[in-house]
Amino acid sequence: MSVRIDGREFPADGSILDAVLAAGIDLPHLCKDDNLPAIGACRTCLVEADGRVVAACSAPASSVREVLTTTERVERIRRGVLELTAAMGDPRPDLPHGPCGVQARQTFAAHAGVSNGLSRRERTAVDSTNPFFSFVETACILCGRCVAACQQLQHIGAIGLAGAGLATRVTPGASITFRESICTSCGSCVAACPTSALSPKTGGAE
Amino acid sequence: MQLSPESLPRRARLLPLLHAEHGRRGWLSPESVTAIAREARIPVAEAWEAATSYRDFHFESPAGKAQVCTGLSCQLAGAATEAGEAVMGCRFRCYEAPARGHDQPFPEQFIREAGPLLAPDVTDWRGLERARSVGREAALAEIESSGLRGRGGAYFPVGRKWAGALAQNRPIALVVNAEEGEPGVFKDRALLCRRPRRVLEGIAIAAELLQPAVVAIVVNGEAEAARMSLEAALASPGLPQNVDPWVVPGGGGYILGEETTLLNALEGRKPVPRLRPPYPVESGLFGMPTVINNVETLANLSVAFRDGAAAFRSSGTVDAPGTKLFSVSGQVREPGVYELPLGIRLAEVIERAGGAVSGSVTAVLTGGPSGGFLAPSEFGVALAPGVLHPTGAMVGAGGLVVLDESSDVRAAVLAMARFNAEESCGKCTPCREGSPRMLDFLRENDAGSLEPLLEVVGAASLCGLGQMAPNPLRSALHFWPELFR
Amino acid sequence: MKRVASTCPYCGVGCGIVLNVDEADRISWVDDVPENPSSDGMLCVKGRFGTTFVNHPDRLTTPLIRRNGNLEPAGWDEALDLVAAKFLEFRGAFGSFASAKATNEDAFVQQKFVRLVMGTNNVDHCTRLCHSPSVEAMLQQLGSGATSNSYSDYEDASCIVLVGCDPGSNHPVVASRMRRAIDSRGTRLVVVNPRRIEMCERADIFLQNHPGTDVAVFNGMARAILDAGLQDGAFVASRTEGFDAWLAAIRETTVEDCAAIAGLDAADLRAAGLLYADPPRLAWQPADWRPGSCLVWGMGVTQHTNGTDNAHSLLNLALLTGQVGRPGCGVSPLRGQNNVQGCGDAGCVPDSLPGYQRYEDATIRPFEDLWGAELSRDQGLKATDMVEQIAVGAIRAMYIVGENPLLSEPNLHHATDLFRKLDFLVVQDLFLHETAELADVVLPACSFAEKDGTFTNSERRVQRVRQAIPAVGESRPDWAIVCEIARRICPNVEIDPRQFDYEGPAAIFAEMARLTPFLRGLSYERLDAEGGIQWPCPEPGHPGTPYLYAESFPRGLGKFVPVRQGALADEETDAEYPLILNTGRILYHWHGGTITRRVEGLLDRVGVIPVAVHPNDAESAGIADGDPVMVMSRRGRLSGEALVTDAVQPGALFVPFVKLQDSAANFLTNNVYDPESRIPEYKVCAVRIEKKRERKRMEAAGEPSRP
Repeated sequence: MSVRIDGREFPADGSILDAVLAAGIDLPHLCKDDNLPAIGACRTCLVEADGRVVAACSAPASSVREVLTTTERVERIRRGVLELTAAMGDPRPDLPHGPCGVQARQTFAAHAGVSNGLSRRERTAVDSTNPFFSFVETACILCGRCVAACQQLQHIGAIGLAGAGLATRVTPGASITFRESICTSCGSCVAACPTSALSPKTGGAE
Repeated sequence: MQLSPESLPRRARLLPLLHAEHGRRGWLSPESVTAIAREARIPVAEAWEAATSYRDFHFESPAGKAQVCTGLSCQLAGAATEAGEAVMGCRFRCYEAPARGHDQPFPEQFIREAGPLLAPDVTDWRGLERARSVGREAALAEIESSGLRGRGGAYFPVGRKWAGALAQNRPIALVVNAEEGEPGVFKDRALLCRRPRRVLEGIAIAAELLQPAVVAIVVNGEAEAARMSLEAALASPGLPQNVDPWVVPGGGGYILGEETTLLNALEGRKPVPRLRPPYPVESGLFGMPTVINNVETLANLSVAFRDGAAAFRSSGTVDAPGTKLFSVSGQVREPGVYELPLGIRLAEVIERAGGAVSGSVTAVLTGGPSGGFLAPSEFGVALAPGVLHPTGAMVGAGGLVVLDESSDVRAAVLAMARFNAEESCGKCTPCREGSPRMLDFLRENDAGSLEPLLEVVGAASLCGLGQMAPNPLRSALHFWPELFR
Repeated sequence: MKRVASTCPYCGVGCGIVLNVDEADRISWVDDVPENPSSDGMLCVKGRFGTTFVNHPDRLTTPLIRRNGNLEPAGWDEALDLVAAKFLEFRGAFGSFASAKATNEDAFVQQKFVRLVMGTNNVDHCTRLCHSPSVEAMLQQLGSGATSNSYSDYEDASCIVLVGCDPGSNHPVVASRMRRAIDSRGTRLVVVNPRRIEMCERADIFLQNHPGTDVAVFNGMARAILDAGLQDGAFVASRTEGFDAWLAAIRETTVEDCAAIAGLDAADLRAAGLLYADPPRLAWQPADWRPGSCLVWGMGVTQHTNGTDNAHSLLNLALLTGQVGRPGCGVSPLRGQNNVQGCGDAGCVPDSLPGYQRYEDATIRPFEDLWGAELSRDQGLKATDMVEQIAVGAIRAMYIVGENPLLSEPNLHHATDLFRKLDFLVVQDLFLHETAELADVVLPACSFAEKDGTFTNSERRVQRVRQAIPAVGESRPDWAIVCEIARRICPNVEIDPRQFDYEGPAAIFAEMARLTPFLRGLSYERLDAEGGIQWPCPEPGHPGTPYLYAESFPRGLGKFVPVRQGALADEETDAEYPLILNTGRILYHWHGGTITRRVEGLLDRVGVIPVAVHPNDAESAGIADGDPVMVMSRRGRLSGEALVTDAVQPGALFVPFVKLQDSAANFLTNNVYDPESRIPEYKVCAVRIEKKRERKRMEAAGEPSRP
C-alpha cells in the first residue's frame, strides 16, 4: 500500500501526516502530539488529497491516492489558518523539538503583534502558581494538546477548555489556579504545548 | 435486553445532572458543578469545560429577567429587546413570532399540512407488528428498498447507515436526535408534542431490527413541552415491550446537530466534534457501533412499515422518496409545519403558506445558518437533497425563513453571520477565529477581505458548522452584492 | 543540548525518561518516552521535574573521614585503605545494607563482596521494610516473590482490587493507567484502605476497614465467593494444594463475622468478593476472553506485625478464583523504589543467592566455581535484625550503601542509639544524611545520571540506565567503590582480587545473567537494541515474559495457607495515646525525603509534614485546618501542620514518613516486627495530637517548656 506525495511514492502507513513527515516534508502540525491521537483543532496540516483540502493528521494515508502539499490553493488556505492563529495573540513556537514547522514559524514571525481584536479580549491570564511551570495565556492558541495530555494521556483531568467559541479558554476550573486545582504537576501539558504558553520554570534545583 | 443508563459509565450522568440542577435553580454555580462532577465521577475541570460549552446554561443568576427571542424569524417580526429582558437565541417558536417567555407545547393549529407522517397519531402498533412478522432480514431489506434517507439534513440512506453498524457485530447504541437547535426549525417539537406515538413506533421498529444495547433520545433541553409529551407517551399503557429509552435533555447549541458532538455530550464530555474516522457506526457512544437518527427519520419508519415500501416511494423523488416536514416561518401569512413531498418546488410551498405578509417575497433562507438565501429568480427550485444553488442553499432540516418587502435582507445576513460566530464551538481555529471576522468584514462592507476568509473557513474547518458557515454570506453576496458595498 | 535515554530513578514503576542536558552539564528538562511499554509516554512530577537533585550543592564530592569527632574531607586512597583495614578487622561481625536505588550491577557487586570477601550472608536491603511479607508469602505459596502480571494487564482487567496502597501518590503512572482503564474501558475498581485515597473517586466499592483487619476482609471475601459458588473449581483442583485445610479455616467465620471485625457493611464485603471472583465482561473483550481481576497491594498490607498473614490471605483469594496466569489478571505487590525488584534479584537478601537461589549445593556450586572460593551456607541476618543485633555485639561494623536507616527504621531514637554503638560505620551515598552523620567514613557515590547500568521495575522489566552527565565532584559509581574495597581486602582472605576487575557495568551484568537462570537471555546488546525486557528471559532468543504462572507455579502447585485474623496490632490505644497513627507517602516527596527535599519545587508544594486528622478529632483537640500541631507516641514526637479531612477515619491520623523541618514519623513508630518477615509495624502505633502553642507566648507566660 503506498501513497503518492508531491509526485513520489511513499508507504501509506498511519495518517497522511505520518506519511508526509516520514517523507521528510515540512508541514506545520501544531495540535498533533506524538503521544496522543489526532485532535484536529489547529487545521494547519492541510494538504490537497485527491483534490480535496483535508487535515493530514486525521485522514488515513491508505484512504487516498495522491497527496499534494504545495498547491497554490492549499498553501493559500494554510497560510490563512496560520494568520488567524498568529492573530490570536502571541504564539511563541520555540520549543526546540516542537511540531511547528518552518512555514508556521515564518507566518507567526510575519504576524507578530497582529491581532484580530476579537479573540485576545479575555485571554490574558498569567498563572505562575505552580512551582514547576507557568501559564501565559497570550501565547495560547487553544490547540487543546495540553488538555488532551491531561485528560487522555495522564487521566488527571486538572485542566479543560472551558467556554465555547471565542470565549474558549484553557483553565483548571472555575476561577481557581493551577496550584489550587487537582493538578499533580506531571508536566505532560508542558511537554505537549507547541507555543510555550505552558513553559517550565528554570532553575528548579537551587 | 437493553442496558439501563446506570450500566453506562457514570460520566454519562453529567448532562442530565447539569440539566436538572439548571432546571431547579435557573443557573449553575461553580459549587454545583463541582458536586455534579463528583456524582458523575469525573474531574471538576472536565465537568466545567463541558457545562460551560452549552448555550442554554447560565452561570450567574438571571433572576427576574423576562426572556426575549432574537432568532431570525422574530427579528423579522420586529422583536426588540426591552430594558431588563434577557436576550436569548432562537426559542424555536418561529411560528408565533415575536416569541417571548418560556417554552410552550407546539399548538396543533400550526400543523398546516399533514401527510402520512402527521396524520392523526397512531393508536395501535401495526407498523411494528409488520416489521416483526416479516422477519429481520426482510424488514431491513424493505428499509433499503423504501429509499428512506435521514431527515436531519444530510439525507444519508438509512439502510446503509444501519448496515454499517450491524456489520460491526457488536452491541449497538441507538441515539435518537431531537436536539433541534437550528433557528427556523420546529418540526421535531411538532412531532414530539403532537405525534409522540408515531415517533415511538419508529423507535420501536429500529429497536426491533437493530437490537440495540442502549437507546438514548436526546431532546433539546429547552423543549420542555416536547420532552414531557414524549415522557407521557412513554408512561402510557400498551407500549411496545422492546423500548425503554433513556431520555436525555440536551444543553443547547447548534453544534449539537453534529452527530459526534452529540455523542460527546451523551458521554459527559465537552460538546465538540470528534474526528472521523472512526465513524459513529464503527465506534460511537462509549465505543459502541452507534446509529444516530433524527426523530423525523424514525417516525418515517412507522409510515414505511404501515403502508409498505412501495407506497412510501409513491411520494417524493426517485432518489429521495417520502414526505418532508418543512418549518415555514418569517414573513408569511400562515407560518407552521408543512408536510409535503420531497421535490416540491419552493414557490409552491410559499404559495401554500399564504405568501408574503407585505408585498411580495423578496428572499428565502433555506437550510438555516448553514444554508443560503435564495432570490425570487430561484423560487422554482425543487426542494430535494443536494445543493439548491452553488452558493450554498440546501434543504437541510427543512427550515424556510421567508423575507418580504418589509424585511431588511442585509440585517438577516448579518444575523446569520452572527449566529455562526456565536455558535462556533471553539474547537478548531478557522471557525472559532474566522467566523467572527467574517461578521466584522461583512459589517464593514469589506468584501475584499471577506472573500478569501470565506474560502479559508469553508475549506479548513473541522466540521460542517464551520465548513458551511460561509454559505449564507456567499449566497447573499451573489444575489444582492449592492447591499455589501 | 544532549539527549540521553534512561530510566526514572524514583518509584518502582520504571518510567522511560530522556534527560536533556545543557552545555553546563545540567539536566534542563526531562522528556517522556511514548515507546516505553511500562510508562507509555507518561511521567509524574518527580520524574519530570524531580531530577535536579543531581546537581544540588549539597552533593558529597569527596570522601570524608571522622577525625577528632568531625567528618573531614580526605583522599580516595586514604579512605579506601582505612575502610578495607577496618572491614577486615571486623570480618565475622559485619553487615551490609545494599541500595534499592542503585543499579543491578551495583547490587550484584556488593553482595558478591559481602559473600565472597566478607564471608557472610549478612546483606539485605529496604525490601525488608516494605514488601518482605509479600515476598515471604509469595515464596511459600507460589515459589516466586515477583509481580505476576504487567501494567498492561491493569488495562485489560475487568476488575482491579487496590489494597493498602495509594498509587495516585506513590505510583502515579500506574494510577494513570488504571484511571485510563476505568474511564475508557469500563474496568471496575474496588479499594480496600482505612484511608480514603484519591483513587476512591473512581471506585465502585470502597471498603474502609479498621487498621489491621486485612485478614478478616479477605477471608470474608473468600467466604462470600464460596457461598456464591464462584470459586474456580478446575483451577483449585489442578493447580493448587492445601485447599481443604484452608477451607476449614474459612468456614469458621461468616461474611458477617468478618465484616463486623473489619467495621464494614457485610453487603459491601460480599459484593467486593463476587466482583473480584466474577468480574463483568467488558464491551471490548472478545467472546473467548475470560474477564480477569488484578489484585494490587502495597504497604498497608505488609507493614504490620501480621503482615505475612495479610499477604497469605490475599494470595489465597487469587488461588481460589484462578485470577493468575492469564492476560488481565494477576497478583501485584507495587514496589516502592526504582530497583527494589532488581536489588533482590541481584542477591542482596540474606536468605538466597542472586535469582532467589537457596543455599543448596546444586545452586551454590556455579557461584563457587566461577568465584573460586567456598561460600557460606548459613542464613544471613535480615536488615531489622542486623540493627537489633548491634546491641549484643554480633554486628560491630556496617557498610550502608544508598540507604538511610536512621530515617527509615522504626523508633528512630532507639535505632540511633544502636548505630552509635557500632565500632565502625561506612556510609556511601549522594548526601550527608542522618546515618552518614554518624559514620566513621563517608564515601561519595554517583547518582543515576552519572553512571551506566540497569534497573528492574515492578513488572520485572530490566531497563537501561545511561550516563548523561560527568560524575559530580570526585564521586564514583557504587560498584566501582565496592570493587576498590574488595580488591584491597582480597589478598588477606585468599580471594583472587581479579574477581573485582570489571571493565564496566556490561561485564558485571553479563556475570549476573550467567549466574541467574531467569536473566540468562539478557545482555546490554539486547537491552540497547530492543528496549527493556521482562524476566524470566532464560535464553537469548526469548522475548521476555509479560505474565507468570500460565502453566504452573515455580513451586509446582499453588499452596493455600490458612490464616485467621489475629490481634489488630501490637500497640493498643489508651487514654493517654487515644489515636492510631498510620504512615505512608505523598506525591510530592519520596520516602524519607533525602532526595526530594533537594528539589525546590517539591519542597514548595509540601514543606511541612501534613498531619491528616478527622474533623471530629480535630474539633475535640481544638485544632483547625492548617494549625501547627504536635503528634506524640510513647517513643517520640513530631511537629507538623494539621490537615483536617474526613479521608481518615475518626480515631486515626495519617502522616507521610518524609522528614521535613527535622520532624519525621519514624520517631513515633514502633520497633515491633512480623515474626516471619521481620517487617516493622509502621502502619499502626498509638499516639495523641495537640495543637502546638507558640513558643514566644509560652515563654512570656512563664510556663515551663514541654519535655
